[in-house]
Amino acid sequence: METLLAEFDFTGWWLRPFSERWWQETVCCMLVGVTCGVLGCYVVLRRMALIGDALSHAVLPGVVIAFLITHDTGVFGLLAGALLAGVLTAVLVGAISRLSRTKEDSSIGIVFTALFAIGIILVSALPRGLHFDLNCFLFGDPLAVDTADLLLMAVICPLVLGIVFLLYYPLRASSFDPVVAAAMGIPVVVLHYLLMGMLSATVVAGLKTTGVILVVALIITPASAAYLLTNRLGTMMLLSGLFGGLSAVAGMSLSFVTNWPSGATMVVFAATIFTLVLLLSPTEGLLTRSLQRKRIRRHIQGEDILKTLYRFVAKNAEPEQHMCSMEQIYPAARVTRRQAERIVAELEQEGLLYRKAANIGLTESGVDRAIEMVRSHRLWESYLTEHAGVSADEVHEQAEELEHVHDLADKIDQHLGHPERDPHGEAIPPPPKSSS
Amino acid sequence: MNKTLEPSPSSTSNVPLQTRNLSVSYAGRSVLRSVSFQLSAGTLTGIVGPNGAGKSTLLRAVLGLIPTDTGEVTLFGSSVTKNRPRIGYVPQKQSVDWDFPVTVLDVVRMGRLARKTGWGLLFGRPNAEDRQAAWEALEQLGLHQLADRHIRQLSGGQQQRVFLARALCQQADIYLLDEPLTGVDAGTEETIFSLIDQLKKETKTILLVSHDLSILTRLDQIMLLDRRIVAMGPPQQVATEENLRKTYGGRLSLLDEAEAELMRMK
Repeated sequence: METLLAEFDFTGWWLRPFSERWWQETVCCMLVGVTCGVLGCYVVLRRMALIGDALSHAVLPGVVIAFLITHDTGVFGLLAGALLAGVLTAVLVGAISRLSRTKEDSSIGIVFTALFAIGIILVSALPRGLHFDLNCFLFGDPLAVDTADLLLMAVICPLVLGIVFLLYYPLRASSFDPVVAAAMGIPVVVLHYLLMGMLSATVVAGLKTTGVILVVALIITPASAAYLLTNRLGTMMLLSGLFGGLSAVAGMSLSFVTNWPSGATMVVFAATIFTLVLLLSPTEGLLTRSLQRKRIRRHIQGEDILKTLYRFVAKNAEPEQHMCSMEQIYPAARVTRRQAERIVAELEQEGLLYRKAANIGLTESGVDRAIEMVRSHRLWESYLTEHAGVSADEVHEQAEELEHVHDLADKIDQHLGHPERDPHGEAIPPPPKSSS
Repeated sequence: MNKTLEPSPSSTSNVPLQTRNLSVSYAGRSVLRSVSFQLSAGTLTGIVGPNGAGKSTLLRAVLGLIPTDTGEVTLFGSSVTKNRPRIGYVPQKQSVDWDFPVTVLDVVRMGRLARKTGWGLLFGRPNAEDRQAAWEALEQLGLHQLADRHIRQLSGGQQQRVFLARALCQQADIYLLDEPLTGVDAGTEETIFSLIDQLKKETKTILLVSHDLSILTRLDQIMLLDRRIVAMGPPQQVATEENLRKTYGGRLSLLDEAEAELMRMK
């Protein structure tokens, strides 16, 4: 970083991010982000999040031993060591939980911490003159990315993505229903270890970008965000890859400007995307759903006010000609005065009622809507007593809620054979002319 | 009866499914003891027995999904691994995650994977024939209007029908159904039985697991199972009070006691 700062050119500083070196680092991170995102879909769906974390830690002894043998951080040596350690983790975890009563998450915890500990001891016991940068391994350092690393990622990432694409159908089938997939002859165990291997390889490729501690975030977070947005696996993988790549590029850019650690910045970006999706997803977002509930509640309150108004003025031959005051309405409609003011203003805009001085009256379409409500209420009451065994004195409360589903009123009417009176003996009005 | 099948060299190749002395144990406890039976083409056999009788285990052992202690399974005279496309399996519906991001059509199409062999099983892509078969299976089970729905949005009966459609479009000769009638509505139950009748007419062989006896009259053959075959044969002969008491009695047999004793001695 110091060298970069020394070269800092104030006239062209905003062009700085587009230097060759920045490109190298960013392309690297983006490749890793996309691959982690796509592969992460299987990790999330197969509930292997913990094993993703485990793999990233467990590759340490493999990496250190490879370093001991080759005496440098040559990428292919590291990759081989890490792959071995990754597959060893998967095999050990499987063996321990199969051969004993140890639960799978516990065996994962035991295996990866043990391997990681061995790795730390190995690092401390390295012969003189060899320096292994544990810090870079733990926290990542994209600035240490060189052409060889870029080459490694340029090989691994397309390879992994290609395998995931080619094996899409058997992988999907064995992730959804491993037992039936096995019965079909799909080699589910081989596919499981293949996924583990690809995950280890991706983790190693991503080592220098985020470090082992945070790389699991690039695997799980974009995939979880995508999972909330779609009902199709293919779409989920596309979105997840996009989120992963986006987090990497955005994280790199921001960290360049602010001088924050780039791995951490990427992860924070990924988490931000997840949070936004969690809140705003069009179907399942927490905020979206609460707004929806609020809209429905307002709709119901509005209809209650219309009905109350109608009850006050219906005794007259020409309901449109009669009015009543706010004080009469809001207690009867079970809303507060302030809510009533707001709702009345809204209904006025919709043309369902009108105001003259302090008084409120129904317009013609307001009367129609109110009749629809009354009709729906009484039909529901009839339906509930006849078909759901609700007694006549309890039926009102339930119908009070159901009446707002007035789209079904005509169906009920037909189903009940066009009854004329509800269980309380009140007349069920015919549907208003304008609405049918 | 088997006019559609090729004339066979050996006599057993006409027998859709046969097991001999099949034994399965789990963690030292015997789950199935020396189960031998044979099914003939175009019949519906029900495996009935109490909880923990090894009904689902028997299906999995037949499919070669779990290790067996002794015994062998033959499908049309040869091993299961050689006959995977000819045997369809419908597991219990709670065996999968219904939040998995797939639609009804996606799941049904998975059944077509079973018809592929070798490298095709790994790298094969769905072709026109696969798509056609999946649609036909959807229509046959009355699911075609739900094809694009996510599986989470289905009722229990509809989910069961999705599983059946997946197996159906495999066009297998033998179907193993694990508790297909549990938690389904009356309409789905009727659909399932009319599907079974249809399959029987096509000389398919069906083995169905059920924990309750209400389906007795629909079966051609019943297997009363309580870790061993208590009795097997036409329901009117086999479903006697004595046999049922033996099956559902719940009393420890001498073998169980001996086994428990052995476990203690170890």
